[in-house]
Amino acid sequence: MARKNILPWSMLALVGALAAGCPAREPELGEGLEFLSPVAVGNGLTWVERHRALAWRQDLSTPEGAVRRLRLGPDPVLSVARQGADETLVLSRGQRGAPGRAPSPGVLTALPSAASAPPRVYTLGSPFNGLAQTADGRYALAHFRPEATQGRLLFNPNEVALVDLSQAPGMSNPVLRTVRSFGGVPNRVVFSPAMAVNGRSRTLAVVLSDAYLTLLDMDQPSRAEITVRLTLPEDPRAIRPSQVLFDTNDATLYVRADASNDIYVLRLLPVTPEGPSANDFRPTVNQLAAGRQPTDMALVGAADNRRLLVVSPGSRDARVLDARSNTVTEVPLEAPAERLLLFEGAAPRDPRSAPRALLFATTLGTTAVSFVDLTDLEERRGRNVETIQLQRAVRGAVSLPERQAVLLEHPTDATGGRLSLLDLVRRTASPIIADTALEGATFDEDRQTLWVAPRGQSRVGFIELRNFHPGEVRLDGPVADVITLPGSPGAGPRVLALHPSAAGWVTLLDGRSPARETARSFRGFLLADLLEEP
Amino acid sequence: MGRLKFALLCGALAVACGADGSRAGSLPTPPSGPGAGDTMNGGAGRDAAVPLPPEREERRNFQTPQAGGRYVYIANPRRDTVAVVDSRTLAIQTVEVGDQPTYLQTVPGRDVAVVLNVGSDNASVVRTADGASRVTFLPTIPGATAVAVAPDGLHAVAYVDTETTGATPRAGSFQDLSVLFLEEGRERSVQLSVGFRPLEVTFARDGQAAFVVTEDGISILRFSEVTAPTIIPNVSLADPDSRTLPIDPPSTGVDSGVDAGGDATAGDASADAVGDATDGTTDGARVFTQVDARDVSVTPDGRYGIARVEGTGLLRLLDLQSRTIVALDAGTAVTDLDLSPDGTFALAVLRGRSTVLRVPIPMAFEAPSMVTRTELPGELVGSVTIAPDGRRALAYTTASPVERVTLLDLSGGAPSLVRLRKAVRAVAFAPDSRTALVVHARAAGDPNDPAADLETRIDRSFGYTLVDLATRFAKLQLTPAELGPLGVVPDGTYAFVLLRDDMARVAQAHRVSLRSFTVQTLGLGSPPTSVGAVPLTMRVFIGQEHPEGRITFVDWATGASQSVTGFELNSRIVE
Repeated sequence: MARKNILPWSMLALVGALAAGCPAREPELGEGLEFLSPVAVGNGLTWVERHRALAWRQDLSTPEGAVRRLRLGPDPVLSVARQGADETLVLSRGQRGAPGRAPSPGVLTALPSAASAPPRVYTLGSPFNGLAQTADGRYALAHFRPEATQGRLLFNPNEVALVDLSQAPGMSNPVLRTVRSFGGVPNRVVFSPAMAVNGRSRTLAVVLSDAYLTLLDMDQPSRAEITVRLTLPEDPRAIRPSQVLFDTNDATLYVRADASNDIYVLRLLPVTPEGPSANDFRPTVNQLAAGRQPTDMALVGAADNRRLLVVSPGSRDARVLDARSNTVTEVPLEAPAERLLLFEGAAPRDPRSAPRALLFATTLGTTAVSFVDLTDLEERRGRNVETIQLQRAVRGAVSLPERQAVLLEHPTDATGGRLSLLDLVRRTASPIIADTALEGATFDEDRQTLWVAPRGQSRVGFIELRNFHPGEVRLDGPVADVITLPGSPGAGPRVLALHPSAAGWVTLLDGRSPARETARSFRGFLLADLLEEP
Repeated sequence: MGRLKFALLCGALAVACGADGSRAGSLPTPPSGPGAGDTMNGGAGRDAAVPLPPEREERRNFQTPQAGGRYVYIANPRRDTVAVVDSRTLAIQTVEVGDQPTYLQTVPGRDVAVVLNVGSDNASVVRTADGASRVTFLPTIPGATAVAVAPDGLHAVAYVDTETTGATPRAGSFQDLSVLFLEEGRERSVQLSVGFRPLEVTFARDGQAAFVVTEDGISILRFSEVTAPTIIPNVSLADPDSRTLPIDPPSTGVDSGVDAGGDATAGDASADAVGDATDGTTDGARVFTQVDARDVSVTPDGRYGIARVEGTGLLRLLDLQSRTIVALDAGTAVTDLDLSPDGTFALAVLRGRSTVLRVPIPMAFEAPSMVTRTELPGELVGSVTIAPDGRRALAYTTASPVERVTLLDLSGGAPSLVRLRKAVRAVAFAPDSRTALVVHARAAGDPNDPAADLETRIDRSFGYTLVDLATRFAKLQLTPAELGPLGVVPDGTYAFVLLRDDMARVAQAHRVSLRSFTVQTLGLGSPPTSVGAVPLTMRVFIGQEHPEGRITFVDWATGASQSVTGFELNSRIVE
């Protein structure tokens, strides 16, 4: 195993001693290093250190894993990869003023992977701590997550900032807004895919709050938000929207909410805007009964006949909801289900490829799963359900649709293996003896291999999905996480094992032929030039 | 026979219903096999000692959404609001009205609704334009349970409708009503006293008067004369001074006196009493007696009222200007009476003679010889329904499981039979008079009994038949549940039939093409209660029973549907 020690560990003590001997040291120098989870972007990783507001960009395409440092806005709290772009987005909350230190606003920094491209800094103003982005990475929405304190005398928890990441920062980018509140604060923000509403494609931000949600047209950020209540004012239920699906063909949103047995169907209907700040669509709410305690849902059927499949463990059934006609079809289940996975494939008695679903539970201790054939489900109902016994409860599942399989995780005390592979076509389950959980499992880019990193162990495990061959690689130290990187020209995907180290320690593995012999280790890169201004 | 009280769409089916509302099991077993009942002669073919039940009218009423031109209005008594649904955008606004808004009517074709607030004894007039609604309040009589709105929307009458709603006034009188003057900006109401128990309110074609049919007769409300609370005298249907003219000369007008159904004729004692219309126990005083007037109608010009007297052969014509009555005696019981849409004639059915009389108004009441008769030998007919154009009518019976109707050509052609597969419960015409929809009765028994033959299974099923009047082509459509409200869209292209069986979890609507007779079944999420058309957006709404309120809009041309549930939630969407 090759090593690339950029800075010896002993330097850490030296840095500390130098800092301690300086009476006018910067406050952050007295604090330890605190890194956010590294973000894999392009050919490398982006590391963000909170107290010093620094980003390290590590280029793993070079033999030495070269790093460069970048200055961020104060108090970075979140870093993510921008969808569809080789950029890292870092959300910084800014800082309050203090003697000798001017206050600075919260900012969103877009860090391109290419060294030649300068960072873009979007001034948000407020100390946001939540960020959501659209699937295409064009828009981001910064918001406050519901926390008791935000470290400011005053803050507006319903303020949001709409950022067009495809445009340079400017006076109108980002757009700051305060969404209407019925006493709650945003819990989460989800974005729609591009969907045609009133003849125009647009992206909607859906801000989920307790008992209501807010719609924002990201393509028209100056237009008013639309607030949709999910309960009446006198209703004491804590209806918290938890899942949103979008039917882009019908301009319809399906919202599942905790503590509600109904699915809320929001159809966006065209209207003539009454003013420049008014929207050209308006939602209508439709409530459809979804059994007791619905826990998961998915859209099924062709675009012109879209319906919603819902699993409700409380009523031990699945339901097909047709929002156009308001019809609800109950499909009784022998085993209660909490989750559903859609797939297209054959069945033991039906060689044709057809839409089907796997229904299972992960918290109920149920040892059976249900296969549901979705064709003519409303007419055939229970006749389209086949229940198979696994003999073991299911705790988690990873869908492998291209392999017509699902990797199931079982409780640790289960006999016969902690993992099993459920063949969706044959409807059989094969145990895989494993000493790890699926939590944190990750696919490589082309989904050829599934990687796991048992926390605290000096090994990474993998399953080649081509033949379900399992394997592992021993490393030099305990592994905290595993990250996959896309392949570079002429090379396959790579896998990074992250080792717990304040100085930075990663091991790079060949994703196609993982072996200790070909692994490269990089250490200490986060301490390089630590005392120098970037 | 009066008009059917189905909940109808705007420009709705003209429907007459003869069944008694009885459900499965209440009907005699129908004769089986082709031609069953063909040999009947005034009930022949049955035991003559077993009387037929009377031809009875079916009345239905729902506290249902009502449509204006573009908006649909739904009263919510629990929240003291009216939900106003935009049929174009499905946007909903809730409008605060009075206490317990319960009974609501719209002005045809206009976005104006009148709702009675039974808890606050007033009415709210809701006017909607460009998505905004304004409310005006008018006092009404206490306990009003019905409101009738004039077609021109300038007047309405609020009254206690004990027949339809079963309501009784909390205390007070059955004889009060309120006239609501609805001209925008000049709204007011006036309380009046009328005859006992108002049954129905109709309006003159010119909108200048309303006619309140009561048990005592007809009260005429001439709006221009209503300025303050006053008494509105009745024009009684039992005026002892009225003349009674026999339709048939005495030498030819004699029959057995009782038809096979046991209907009394004018020759019996009871008919004499009604004909005299006096109470013999009084001492020389001229006392109006109670008559069981049925099928009371007023001609569209408001000039005449016409009624039959139950159990007799008497037809009474009231001249509403001179307040005089002339009676015709058909010589045998009239089992149904239907006024033509233009009011120029009426059809009276003599079930005991298998005859339909055409009675010109008013001429026949001066010259009984002008009455023309259509005899239908061998047919049992007790009810009649005239098409909206007045050119055709269907004669049939709801008292016996006869599986055919007789098509009458009112322009002089010969009658013709239309064979059906099931017994008749009600008949409806499309507004263009091209199509009729026959609602069928259902025989007792399980339609899915494998031991039953096809004919029996059909008889045991719910269903309806579409009849093309030009060709007499008939198409039977069986249904999984009893027919609920039905209606047809204003252009007459489609009819909508609601089907509901809560036990069997049937909640459907049939979208029926009145051109091809094809049927599209629309599944509904909850039991349908009402149907109506919104002309401006060419949509039909289907109100449904749902705790939060649910309504489905159907594009009547394409069948595409959209639903809204939870009127309150929708009204609280904020932009």
